Amino acid sequence: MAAELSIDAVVNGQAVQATVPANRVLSEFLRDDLGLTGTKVSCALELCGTCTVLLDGAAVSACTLLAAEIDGGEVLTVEGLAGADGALGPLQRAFVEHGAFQCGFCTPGMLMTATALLARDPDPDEETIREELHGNICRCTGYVPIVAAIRAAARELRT
Amino acid sequence: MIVAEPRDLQTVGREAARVDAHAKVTGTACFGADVHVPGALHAALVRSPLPHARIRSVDTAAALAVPDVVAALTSDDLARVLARRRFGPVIRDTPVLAEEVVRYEGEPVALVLAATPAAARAGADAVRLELEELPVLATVEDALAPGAAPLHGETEGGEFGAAWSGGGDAAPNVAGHYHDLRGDPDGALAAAEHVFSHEYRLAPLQHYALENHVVTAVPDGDVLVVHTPNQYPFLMVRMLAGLLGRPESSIRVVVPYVGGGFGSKEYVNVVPIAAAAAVAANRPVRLELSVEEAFRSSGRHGAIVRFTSGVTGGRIVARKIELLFDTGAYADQGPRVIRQAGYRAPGPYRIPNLQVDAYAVYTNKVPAGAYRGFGASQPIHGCECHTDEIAAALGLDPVEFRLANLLELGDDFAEGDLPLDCDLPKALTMAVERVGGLRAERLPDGRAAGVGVAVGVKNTASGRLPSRAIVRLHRDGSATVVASGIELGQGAHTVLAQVAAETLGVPYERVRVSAVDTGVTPFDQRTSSSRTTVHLGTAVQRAAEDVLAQLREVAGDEVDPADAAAVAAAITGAASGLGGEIVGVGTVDQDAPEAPTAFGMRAGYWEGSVGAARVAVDPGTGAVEVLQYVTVADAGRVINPHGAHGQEVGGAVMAVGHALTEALDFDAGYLTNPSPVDYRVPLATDVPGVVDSLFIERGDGPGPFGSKGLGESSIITVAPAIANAVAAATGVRVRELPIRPWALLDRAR
Repeated sequence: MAAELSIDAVVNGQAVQATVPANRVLSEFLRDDLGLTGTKVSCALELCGTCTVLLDGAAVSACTLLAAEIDGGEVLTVEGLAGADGALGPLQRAFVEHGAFQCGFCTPGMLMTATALLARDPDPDEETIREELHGNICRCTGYVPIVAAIRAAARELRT
Repeated sequence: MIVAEPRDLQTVGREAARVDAHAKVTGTACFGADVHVPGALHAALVRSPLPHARIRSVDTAAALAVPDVVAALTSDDLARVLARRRFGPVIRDTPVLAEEVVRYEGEPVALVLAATPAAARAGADAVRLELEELPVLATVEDALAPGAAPLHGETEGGEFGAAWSGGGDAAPNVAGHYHDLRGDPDGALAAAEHVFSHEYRLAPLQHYALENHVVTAVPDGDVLVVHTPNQYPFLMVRMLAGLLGRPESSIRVVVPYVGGGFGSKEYVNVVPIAAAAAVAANRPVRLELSVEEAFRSSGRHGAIVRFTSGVTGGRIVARKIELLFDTGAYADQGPRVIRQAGYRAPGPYRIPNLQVDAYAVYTNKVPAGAYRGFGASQPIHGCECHTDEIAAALGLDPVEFRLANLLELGDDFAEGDLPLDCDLPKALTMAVERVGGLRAERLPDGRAAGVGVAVGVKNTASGRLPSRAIVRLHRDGSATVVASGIELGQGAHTVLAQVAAETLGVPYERVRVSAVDTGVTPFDQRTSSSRTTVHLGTAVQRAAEDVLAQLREVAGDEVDPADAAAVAAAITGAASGLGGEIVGVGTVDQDAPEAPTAFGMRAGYWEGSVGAARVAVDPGTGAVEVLQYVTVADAGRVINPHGAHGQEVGGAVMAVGHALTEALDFDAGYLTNPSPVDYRVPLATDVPGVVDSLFIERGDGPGPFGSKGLGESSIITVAPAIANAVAAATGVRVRELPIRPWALLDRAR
């Protein structure tokens, strides 16, 4: 059996303590141990971006990051984007208003990547957004409405 | 048919937010991998490392010694619970697990069940296969060569029936053949002023839906419940009932949200494995494929397409077409795909003399099946490149040459079929105007730019395929649509809710759509062929009309369905006897009239496809950038603009990958690039700077409010429009897809 490591972290604003096998990846920890199934896994190769979550504000791939690495850190997943009252956040609303998803499988990862981007750069131009989304594959929308939604959310957040 | 003016419509034609919007932006939408069944065993497949081999032995002893492994099952073990050993939608040629022979690299040979996914994988890796290599049919040329050994022995017809195979061919590795002969093509070619022949080759493709296949099969008393993302749930019920020797009522297929389909989730060849394993082990079994395994499940046919045309006075007078589709080791839907391909291959042109032969050919590769466009993309790529090559050779403007030969609205595509219900000349004119006209130029950055166009048409949803729907008007004036339309992302549930809301006259926000469960929701033929809005939408419309009729019966003709108090009074009033709700039923019965065409069935409607691409080619690297893409669809009536543009733009960008980057690379039957590293789908940085999606709306479609289907229209013409633009920019004609930079470099020298 793999060695076990302890985790003391904050996930979506809630304190989490757990002991996990050293080889457990973050996506397994979130989905199977915490029941946060909003984070999706597709390639498991850190390429497609569906599993993107934020660790201390930075976008990371939960499919390959070891769960133990979040110890002492703060994780934000798609389940943490809406307000405490359940109201959708600006990016979520913009995705709905711009038709920025179809099947929705890439959407959690897209939202998290965009959240990290807008925290860093409140006014990204189209090229910057496309570069940032380079690691998030979408097979349905052709990316066009996703880029539009992120720009719209950025505008709203600036005002 | 109801054709309302847009101004009279409350919900239809408006940007109604998707019914699944909240679930999909908050992470609560349940996909197949999110289905959690306590106590489920995890399955891992043992796959063949060879593309063609005789199975000498399967030794599972080492697997059973792996901690947490519960069982290791071979084809003999599954045979104990199978009433039928093979399955297949057209030809029953596919064993649930390989028997005696493996026919493609990656074919499932055994599976291991364990308490954890890691233990199942470790167990599968410990299974020892003893295989004896057999000669590999690596290409369609190998498979069709005189003396080639047949890949299959005797087979029988599947759910779609053997009739679809065309059959009767002497060639042993032909799984399906389509033949059409109109007029005297040989005579007309001999008499033509000019004759042109071209061959094009298209690489096989993967759907690359982000969600990999996942099946959770749960024995529940004498019912087997199968949770899986699938576009053909009722066909799955039939198939599983036949394989397991059970009544259809003892199989339930429950479909969660589907994380992308594009054809990959129609006839999924791992569903029977998980179902049989669950029955054999009498335990819930979960089988979740990796992305690499998805590459070994299904794909789009690679093809060789050959066109010969005779042209006299700028008119096409004769055309002969040969299509060779590589269907891989098992027929899957290949024989259906090539019939559609053959029928659509001539393109929407007036061609008095025509011969088409299309073949689905067995090889030792991953089976190819349905892919968005269903056989339209390969021949139309050939047709439209060929059209441009002819125009160039004759010194004609490619748009004018097309306009002189294109079929017009109301013309026969083939005598006896539904006359064309799309205005292709108008669509082509719109596309050319939007892209700024045909031109070739040198950009300030030194790149060569050019514009190309392509036109195609797809007969869709033969006649009417059956759909049933239920609409429940609850006592508070809200409503639920109960139907089996699969939400793949295309917005099916949203459109069904809009149709119900519009018909009932209740606010869209008060309508919900049920999840699909074949044990509960009524029959729908399938979610494919751009048919859901038209057929299932009509069933929903009729169910809503049934609700209204019942409501008026108890509350009078003046009742306003949007008045919740009046509805409550009507439903709960002692006199009505309704009690809790009004249940309306709507049916669309099968009506697939035969047509005196080689295809044999009349189209339900036509999906026209017109595209214009403007590209830039870097002379130093051969890299192609799509600067602008314009797609025009003849949509009847757009129910939801977001959804409709989403289908058009999404399909167009998907096919940019087909044109420029995507190919399954096979080497002597071995797939060398089953990963997103080496199989390159379009990324955000690959998307054309401008993508314009334009609609023609005449309100004349056969669906609710004059709608038609459009999920497959844009994708068909993207690759040929790009190839034609590359040729216009560089003068180099690349006759292979994808168009690789080095192909341009080599040829430009």
